[in-house]
Amino acid sequence: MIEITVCFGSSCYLRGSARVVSAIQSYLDAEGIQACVTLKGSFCLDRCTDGVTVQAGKRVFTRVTPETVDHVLREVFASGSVDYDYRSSM
Amino acid sequence: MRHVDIVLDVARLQLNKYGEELCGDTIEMARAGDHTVIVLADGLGSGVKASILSILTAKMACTMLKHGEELDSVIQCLAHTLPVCKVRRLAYSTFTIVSTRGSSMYLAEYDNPPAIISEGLRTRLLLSRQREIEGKAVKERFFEISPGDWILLVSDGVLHAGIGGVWNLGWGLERVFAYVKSNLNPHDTAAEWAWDLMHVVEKLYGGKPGDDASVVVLRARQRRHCLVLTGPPADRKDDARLLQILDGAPGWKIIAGGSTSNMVSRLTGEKIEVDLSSDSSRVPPMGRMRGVDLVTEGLITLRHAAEKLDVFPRELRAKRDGASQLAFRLLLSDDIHFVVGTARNPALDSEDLAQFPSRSQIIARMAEKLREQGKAVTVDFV
Repeated sequence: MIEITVCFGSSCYLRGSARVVSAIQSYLDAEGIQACVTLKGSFCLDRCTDGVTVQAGKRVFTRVTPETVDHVLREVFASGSVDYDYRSSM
Repeated sequence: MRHVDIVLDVARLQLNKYGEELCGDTIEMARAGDHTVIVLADGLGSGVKASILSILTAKMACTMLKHGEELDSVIQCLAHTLPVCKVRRLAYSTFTIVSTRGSSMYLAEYDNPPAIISEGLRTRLLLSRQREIEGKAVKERFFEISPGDWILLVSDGVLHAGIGGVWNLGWGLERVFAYVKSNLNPHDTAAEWAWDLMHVVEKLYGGKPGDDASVVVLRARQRRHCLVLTGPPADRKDDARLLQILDGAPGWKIIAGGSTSNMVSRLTGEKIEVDLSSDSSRVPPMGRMRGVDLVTEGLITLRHAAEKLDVFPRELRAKRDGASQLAFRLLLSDDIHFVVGTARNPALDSEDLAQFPSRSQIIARMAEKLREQGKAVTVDFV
């Protein structure tokens, strides 16, 4: 089970959090892996100037757009595990 | 008896007689602390003459009663002041007066249709008497009001609605009472009741009222409080103080702001859950946290909520977005406390948010709108 959290803070929301969530849901539907993922929202992931911020397990992705969701999620799932100690944006 | 902090939700609405520019009924209200005086006067005739008579009566009575004068001297004063109609050789305006202080209510009626009173309030009638003051037969009643009680003051134009048409003898007292009981929602506000009642009056008159029609709705309920925390304090040392304010606040507790809710969550250990199933098309979704009634994002939600403060709360009740739910609670509250944090937020410097008015500007606008509705609003900056 992997937890994916999308930031809905003021800045991220204006940059399209809601569309990012839709894109993530579409990806999960297309791949048939909804059951493996808990999709959540947050009011602030503390990366306000680099939104939209998405956290998958321990990895944090910044500047995510609906167009880059596929790429981000492929990276998340390709890694096979979410217990990274690595933060992509750091 | 247990002390209950009672507030009186009051609303008034009037319809002019078809073709008249002036209303011959006047409603006047004065409030100071827990003392409320409301006067409904209906002047003799219609048009300018009726309007002047009713304005003088309502204004004088309201002002004198507000300053603690007895009804006797009000009526004496009116008798000596009202201009005498040349045609009818009368100086005449009917009136109904309601004066409340805390849970005590005084009702005085002279020639107006009797006030329509909820069953509960009728059981708490303490004293009823009929007196002659300056030759006028005045009926006085004293009540002990309790939450849930309501009372309607109507001018005869309301009771006559539909006369000779939909109803042979007009809408009538009993039917208005029955309408309130079976058609009006107890969860709605006085303003919503007044609107619904006048809507019926207008329909019964077929859109052309045959008389001036006025309604005053008074509803007693427990005072409602609401606290809104928005923005983290400028000095982190104040975080704990903010938490104390949150803990000690009576009534609804709302946090509007991502960093603010994160700060509270960090201090209390309670998790924030964002409800992704709520409507996020215009504002970010709503959230939940134990001990808090509503968690929302800050600026965008507040700005949208400010725009929703002009609508009836019932239009917002079932909406599933943060701005509607925030505005709904504010519209239903009597005492509202905004605690506005002034910490600099790097997110707000971004291009997307630079176009937004500042947090304090939005709160100032909200406070102004809420005060106009008679609410007690305090704004503290930390």
